[in-house]
Amino acid sequence: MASGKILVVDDEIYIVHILDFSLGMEGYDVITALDGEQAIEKARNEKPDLIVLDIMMPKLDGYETCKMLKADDATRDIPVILLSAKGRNVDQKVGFEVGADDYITKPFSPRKLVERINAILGQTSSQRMQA
Amino acid sequence: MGRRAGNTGPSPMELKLKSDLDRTRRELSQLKKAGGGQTQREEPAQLRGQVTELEETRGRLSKLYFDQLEENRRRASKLHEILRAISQINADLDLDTLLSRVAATIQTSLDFGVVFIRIREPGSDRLQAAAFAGLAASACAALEAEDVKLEDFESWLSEEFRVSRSFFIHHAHPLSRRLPKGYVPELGPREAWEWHAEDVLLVPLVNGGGERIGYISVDDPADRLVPSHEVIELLEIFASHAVVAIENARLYRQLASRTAELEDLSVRMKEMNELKSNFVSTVSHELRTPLTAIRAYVDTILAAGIERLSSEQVRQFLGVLDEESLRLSRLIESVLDLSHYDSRPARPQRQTVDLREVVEETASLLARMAEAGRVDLKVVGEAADTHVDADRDQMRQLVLHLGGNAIKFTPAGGRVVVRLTGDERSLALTVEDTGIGIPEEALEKIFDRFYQVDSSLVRRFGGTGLGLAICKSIVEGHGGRIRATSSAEQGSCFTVTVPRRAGPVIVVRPGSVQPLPSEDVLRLAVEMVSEVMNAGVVSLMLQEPNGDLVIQAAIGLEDWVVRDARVRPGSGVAGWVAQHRRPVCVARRENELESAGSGRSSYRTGTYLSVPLENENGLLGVLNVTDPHSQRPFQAEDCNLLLELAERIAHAWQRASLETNRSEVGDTADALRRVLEHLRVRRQTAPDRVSLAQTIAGEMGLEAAEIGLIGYAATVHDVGMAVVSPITEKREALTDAERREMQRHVEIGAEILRPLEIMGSLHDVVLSHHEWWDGSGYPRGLKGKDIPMGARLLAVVDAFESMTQGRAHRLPQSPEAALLEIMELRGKQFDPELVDALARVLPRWDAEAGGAIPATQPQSTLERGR
Repeated sequence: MASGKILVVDDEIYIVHILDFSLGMEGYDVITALDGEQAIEKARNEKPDLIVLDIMMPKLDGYETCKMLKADDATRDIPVILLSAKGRNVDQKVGFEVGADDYITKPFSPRKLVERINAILGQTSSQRMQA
Repeated sequence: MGRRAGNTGPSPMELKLKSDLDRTRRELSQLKKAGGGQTQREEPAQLRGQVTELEETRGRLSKLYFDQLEENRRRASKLHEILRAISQINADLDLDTLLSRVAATIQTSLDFGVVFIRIREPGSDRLQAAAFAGLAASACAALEAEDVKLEDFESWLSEEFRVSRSFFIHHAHPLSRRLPKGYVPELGPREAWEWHAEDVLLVPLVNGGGERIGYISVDDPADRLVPSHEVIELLEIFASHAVVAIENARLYRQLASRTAELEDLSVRMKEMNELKSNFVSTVSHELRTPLTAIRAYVDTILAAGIERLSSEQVRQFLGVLDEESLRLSRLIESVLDLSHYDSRPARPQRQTVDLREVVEETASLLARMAEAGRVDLKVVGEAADTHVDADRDQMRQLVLHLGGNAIKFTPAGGRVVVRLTGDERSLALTVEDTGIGIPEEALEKIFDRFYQVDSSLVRRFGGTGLGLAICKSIVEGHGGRIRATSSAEQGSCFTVTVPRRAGPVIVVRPGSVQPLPSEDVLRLAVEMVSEVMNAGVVSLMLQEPNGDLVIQAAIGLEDWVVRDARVRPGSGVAGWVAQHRRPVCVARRENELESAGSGRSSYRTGTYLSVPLENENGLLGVLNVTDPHSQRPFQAEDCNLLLELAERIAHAWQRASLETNRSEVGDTADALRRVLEHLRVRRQTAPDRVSLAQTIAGEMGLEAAEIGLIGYAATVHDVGMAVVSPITEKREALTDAERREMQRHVEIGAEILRPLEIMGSLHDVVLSHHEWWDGSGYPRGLKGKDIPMGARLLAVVDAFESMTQGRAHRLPQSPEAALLEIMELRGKQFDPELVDALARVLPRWDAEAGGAIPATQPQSTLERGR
């Protein structure tokens, strides 16, 4: 069983629910946010180990949110996986330019997301040990 | 001096001068040589006198000779100047500047006081004033106001006037006085062979194909002499260069307009492309959202294994799958709906719909939804008349969308009110809610596809983001408007206004052959045709200078059809009609109006009437009618009736486009308006009355034109009744004064119709339709065959109609009883022959009115001796 705290951000409540369920089954501790502002607040206060961030959101979209997270010392090191219906290379590039660590296109399989999360958290934790 | 046109010019005179001079020179030198021998024999004084005389002659002649040389040098420099001017002409590509330059150059270099040029557009048969030099503004205006017909122009160019390639019409010739000059040059008193105020010199402009594309006319020469051959030839050189330059300028203009069109098109294409890719990316996003949820849930269930989920979890997951798959299918349906509206701009299937009924039906569907959301739904009908010509299904969809939306966005405890209000012309549907409202900045965009103020609302309220776009398509398809007002948190209000009847679409285009009447007259004209012919689709096509027919005003056609339809002369039914100037009646027609850029069918029914629209200046266009409400194919009688209408429209057109007389324009529109109002009041009975009148007229063996006129008279002859109608509606018997007032309707009616008539025949019919065979009718007490046939016939038809329909305080009678009553008045009130004719046609007419369809030819042309 994996362990760690994951922040799931999406304006689609059903997606939040199902990710809460699947990541929970995997052993993760899941906290949720329905928009970008909420996400930044929760990232600062709750210090999650990873953030799953939807791009297409009203008000503050995923790119902006990601940029702000990466600009803030308190949240800079939290890995971000972007989640979006857009699947073009351009978007991926922009995703990495704003500092995201990975990218998954909708529709997606939660199992695949879990694999990516496991990979990133395994990687970062080993990096942390080295550090 | 030989400066008359037709003379061979001044060069022989020059030669003569020169030879005279040479001869004197020779004689003088001979005299001098022979001087020695002769002086011995003759008187020296006499000889000296001769020598002096000869030397004087020599001096005079050599002065003349050098003057002539000087003159020639001047002419050469003038020629040089002219050549320079010509080379400038050829460099000009703007037609107006070019022609003005030609006129001005001729004026200064060839010394004419007045020059003006007329040209005609390619394909046109009229020459229009195009450039002037030396004329006052008022004279220019007079020339501009009057076009010259090509055939008139060509009739002036008779061989007897020909000089070189030009035509000089001497003032003594009667034709010179008949030519429209448009101005009077101030020449003062004249002597023999001087230029005369009524002399005309025309230099035709002939292009490479031998076509006469215009002419140059000169007047008031500075030397006050009729121009010489030489001058005329110079004018012709100007003319031939002007032709080349005109054609170049025209080609350039064409090219420029094509280029502009192409540029426009490419901009539009770019916009369309952008819209399309926006649409595609939005649709794919909207489709992916529910799909993402579905996939995520299914994947999770599969990963976890269904046996490891609690039954509560399974129920919850399946609920989400159910809802998201429904959302997906709703979305797909909406996209399909929308593409349906986009790809098939066929007009709505209009019929008379009671919108209150539609709202009430829909409200019962919405009630369940309202109940579930604990929203109070109320329907308020404030309009007295809630009927509208509309597509029932589309109206239902509209109410469902707007009502559903309002309920969706209104929290529990709120209220939604659907209200119907309206006036004579339009009906308004308002849907008001106390919901979450719409931010002001979003109000403009909510009718865009996939626009939702906040996309999380899609989730919360299950919308597709396409509903309002669909509503907008529906409303606009009905010629109406939809708008929304709202203040956030205060609720929203959607207002739809639809015209009660499909209004005519008018397109104002530049470059028409003949001046256009006001939009008002066009609108009234097509509405009137639609009413009289009882048809759903009427189009008035106008001929453009190049001969193409385009729709100027139409009823029952989509905007895009009206804008884009273009018929080449000779092609399609309308093209045939324009070319041959003969009407066409198509009983059945499967295919469609030929329209540029689309092969889509524009008409529902297969019967079609098309007649030319002409006035004394020629063809204006074509009037088309299709889609009769009766669903019966058009017949010869209908065609004749339409020809009567076309004649009046053409007349109204001409009257209404006379800009000089405002009151006539007003009269014409007014006459049309009153006829139209009358027709609308009487619309239920009109078709029967017209068909009975025409059937009897046919039975009497009348000519087609007369049958048409009677049909038209049957629809409009009581137009004066509207003025006196308060009296006719009285229940009790009329007083003598009231009766006299009521009887005035015939004179009033005849007067109302007058602006639409050229000849007096309709006037007489309308004025006399209450005359009696025995002379005891009104207003003039005419007797027997002094009463016009049409009036006698209408008297019978009116009586029959009022007996069978029941008017004022009489109950309706059966046709048989009505016929018996009319037969009793045979020879008293009614023409005996007409009563007999009525008796003969009545059984047959009943059958026709019942909808029997006579055998039809696939396409027949009807000609009418007029």
